[in-house]
Amino acid sequence: MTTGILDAAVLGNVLNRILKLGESDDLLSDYESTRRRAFLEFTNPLSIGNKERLTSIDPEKVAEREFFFNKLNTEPDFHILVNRSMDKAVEETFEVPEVI
Amino acid sequence: MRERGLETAAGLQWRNLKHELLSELRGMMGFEGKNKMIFLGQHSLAGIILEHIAKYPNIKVIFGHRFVGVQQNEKEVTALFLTAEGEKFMTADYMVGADGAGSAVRHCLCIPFEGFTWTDFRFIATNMYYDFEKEAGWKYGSLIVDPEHWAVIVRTGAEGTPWRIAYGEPSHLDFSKEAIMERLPAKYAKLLPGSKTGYTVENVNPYFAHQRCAKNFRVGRITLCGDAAHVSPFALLFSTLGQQPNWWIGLDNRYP
Repeated sequence: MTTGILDAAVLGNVLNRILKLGESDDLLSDYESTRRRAFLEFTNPLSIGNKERLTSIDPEKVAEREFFFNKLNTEPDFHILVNRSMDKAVEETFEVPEVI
Repeated sequence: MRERGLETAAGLQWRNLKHELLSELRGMMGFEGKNKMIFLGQHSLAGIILEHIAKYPNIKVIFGHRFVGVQQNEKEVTALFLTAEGEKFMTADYMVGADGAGSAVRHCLCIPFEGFTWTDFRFIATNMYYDFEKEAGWKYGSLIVDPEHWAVIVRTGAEGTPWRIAYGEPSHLDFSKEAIMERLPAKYAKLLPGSKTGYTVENVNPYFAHQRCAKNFRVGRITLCGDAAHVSPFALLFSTLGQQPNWWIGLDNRYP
């Protein structure tokens, strides 16, 4: 269900704008492109990276894991950076404008 | 969600098979650290969503309808459902297929589910009770780093709720529930910290782990949403919601 709820949030906004505010249903294509991009460029690589971080014995992946852990263990600001990167899971919300 | 789940500012913890802490990611979730992470089982979340939906007289939740077909024109969508009373047709302006990874809506629209499925292991999710806090001081959850005995061990809510342990097993094994249960004690003996005794298992379920994305999320007036559109089991984002409660799942109070 990872990020699926974000799809629902975005699609809810999009449908509200189409049905209640009479905007063009081209917005559905915008929903498609923004949510597909968020998955393919952010969620999916993150997911595969997390799996490899847990299991990989490939020297390159092991080195990446150690680098990542070391940064978390020694650099407080790195925690903020990693947390901020989660914002990429939802870059565009199609928020319903404040009207009526 | 705050009431029924377990809210914490603690982050994700990675441990090795000796249960030594390797690293920790603090301050998970929330824009600018305004919100904390909430551990809440999916069934509890589903209950909360249903309770909210019940407040809207214009939303009706119907069970026992299996979606089997759809057609659309430039004005509307008509879907066919099989029910205990026979075939039922429903017509609407738009349709959203949020019917899970094996989405019948996606199949009916002939949309390819692109990507790959992990073939070297199957994913086993187990719900169980064990006093991780008393045994080892684990309060929320841990990721076990190991090529064979890797696992995700997390709490599913407040006091009294089970923990979820998810791990992988080589895909050539037998994945009947009996066979999984037979292998379970040996697996738990590796994964559990502390005495490893006195646990109870609530249920076990095997899954295929996919990294897949639908080629299209939209065909005309029909859209796909959630697992029907994409799946990736290890993202560990949990739910990034709660930060802007007014817009999530589109239940916007300004437009009742």
